[in-house]
Amino acid sequence: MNWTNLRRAIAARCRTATSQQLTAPYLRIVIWAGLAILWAPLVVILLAVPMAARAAALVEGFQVPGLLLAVSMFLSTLAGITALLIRVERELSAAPDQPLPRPMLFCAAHMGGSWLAGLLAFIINQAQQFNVWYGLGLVIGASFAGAKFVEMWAERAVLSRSPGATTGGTP
Amino acid sequence: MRPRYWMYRLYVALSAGLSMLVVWIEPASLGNQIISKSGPIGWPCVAVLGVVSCVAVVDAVLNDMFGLAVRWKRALRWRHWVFMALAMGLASVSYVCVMAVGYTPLVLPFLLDATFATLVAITGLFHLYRSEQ
Repeated sequence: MNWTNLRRAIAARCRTATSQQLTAPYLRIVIWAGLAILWAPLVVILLAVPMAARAAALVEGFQVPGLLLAVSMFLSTLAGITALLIRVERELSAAPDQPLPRPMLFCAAHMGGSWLAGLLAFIINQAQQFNVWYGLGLVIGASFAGAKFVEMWAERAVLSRSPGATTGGTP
Repeated sequence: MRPRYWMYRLYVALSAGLSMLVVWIEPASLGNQIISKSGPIGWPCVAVLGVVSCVAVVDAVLNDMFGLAVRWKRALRWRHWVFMALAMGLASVSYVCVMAVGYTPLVLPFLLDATFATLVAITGLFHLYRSEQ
């Protein structure tokens, strides 16, 4: 190996992708962390003051009974479990002897979607003061629709990351 | 699990059915008064819930207690949805009671039965498909 080859080898080693990949993200994280530490308190104070005032104005007119909220969340949970059981039955009827694909992801998607939509429906119901049966239907329907929506969204997100994967029911 | 499981299912179905029967036939009960004041949809919902709990009781009696002598296959196939409907109905009755009265311990037995009906539905679904192998 002559001097020219040695110099090229050293230069190539210095410019390896590995070293760039190792240093660049860490450097970026350090820079962003430094910026966040410097500016976060100011941003939090600037955002918190008007948001606290808005939140106080929002909940001022509400008289939310805790038990009613708890029962509504229970209904949301049941609606989410119903949507989850529909999905599980589809998987099990397609392949009874196979383990369920991505069970934690779909449990979290269904329950998260149903709770979020149920809470939103409860707030709308309290604000609009619907009839008891309309309110009940709104909470159940919104929770079920929320669970199905997040399920479809989660499935699409998972499929976009793994092109070879198939949809549910066809393991 | 199977030999003791039917008692659990029968108890949940009977408890829900008797609760609805008390609401239906006893005018002095708080449930009856709440449903009467809740509007025209209340009584049909109670009736549907009573019918669903009757289906669950008959399913448990025919398909579990009588063993292989008598079978109601459609109820066996749809058992988990029957119990899920039971749970949803009981939770709905709880919601109506809380809306009408506010804080009341009246809803606790309904919520407990709804919880156990949900567990019956979940275990029933897995039992249905896993036991077919």
